[in-house]
Amino acid sequence: MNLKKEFRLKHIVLSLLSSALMLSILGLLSHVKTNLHKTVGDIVLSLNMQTATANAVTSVVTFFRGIDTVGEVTVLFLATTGIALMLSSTQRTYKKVVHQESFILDIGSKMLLNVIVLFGVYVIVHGHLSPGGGFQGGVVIATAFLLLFLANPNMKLKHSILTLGESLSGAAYVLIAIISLFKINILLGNFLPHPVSQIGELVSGGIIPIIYIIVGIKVGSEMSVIVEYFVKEDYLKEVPHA
Amino acid sequence: MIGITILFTFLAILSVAFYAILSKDITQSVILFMGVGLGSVVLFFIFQAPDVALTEAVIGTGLSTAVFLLGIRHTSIDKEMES
Repeated sequence: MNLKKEFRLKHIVLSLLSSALMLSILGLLSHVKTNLHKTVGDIVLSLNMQTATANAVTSVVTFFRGIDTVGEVTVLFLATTGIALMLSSTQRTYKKVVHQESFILDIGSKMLLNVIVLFGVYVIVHGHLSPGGGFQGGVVIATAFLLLFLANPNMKLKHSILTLGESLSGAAYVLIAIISLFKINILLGNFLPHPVSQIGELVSGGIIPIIYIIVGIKVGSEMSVIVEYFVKEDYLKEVPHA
Repeated sequence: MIGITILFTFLAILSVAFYAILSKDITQSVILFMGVGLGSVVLFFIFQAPDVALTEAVIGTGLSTAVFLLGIRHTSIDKEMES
């Protein structure tokens, strides 16, 4: 291993200094813990009953900071567009990879795909009850497709369905924002009934689960396309041009 | 007890991060970077942020490592074709 040759006194001093920094942060945390006055978190938690979601983080992400989420989704869309533009400039003629797959790998990856997609859907749908939500669940679904691509390189995604889902969900998000602006004069406000007595149930919280399902579809399709571009580009280079 | 766990996780993250910077092999570097993400998952969970922990586990250690490894494989094949 050539790791030991590089390890000099300078690095030891640097690591000690950064450890001291971390220790000072820990001291700061204990100071905060003893002086609990009125932080932003307390104010948000006291206002959480308005949105009637069991997960307070969800109400922050989709209600109190809803316009930020719209911006995040736009940033992700732009990143996907950039990757597609950059990687699709080469010639897109995939040659069939001659790849002796084992039966166990093929069947096992397809079985695991169902389980992982089911977990992703669970994380998306229960975003307002338990940790997780649209972003996390969408990426979980994309990792399922990554597994499928690694096991079977000749796999192809149906881009028409992905494009349709991605654009329709993006349009629906903006449409919900505009409808709530006209209905209750709040951008991304909760215009569906959301009684506090239903807190903790699967169908509760008004438009918040709907927004998370929309975000999940959008993120899942975008991330799947990114993964497909990376894997396919790899195999494209591996096959020599005849 | 929980303070000792936090302290050891911090130190583990720091040492893994330094090895990731110092190692010559870029694949080793990416795998060690995944270790940094795993340590942060433990820290986020201890500091009662399970949402962020789930995001870090899925994106930081799952998808980004795969994309990095695919990119490394892609660029190293290019180098072989040139030589």
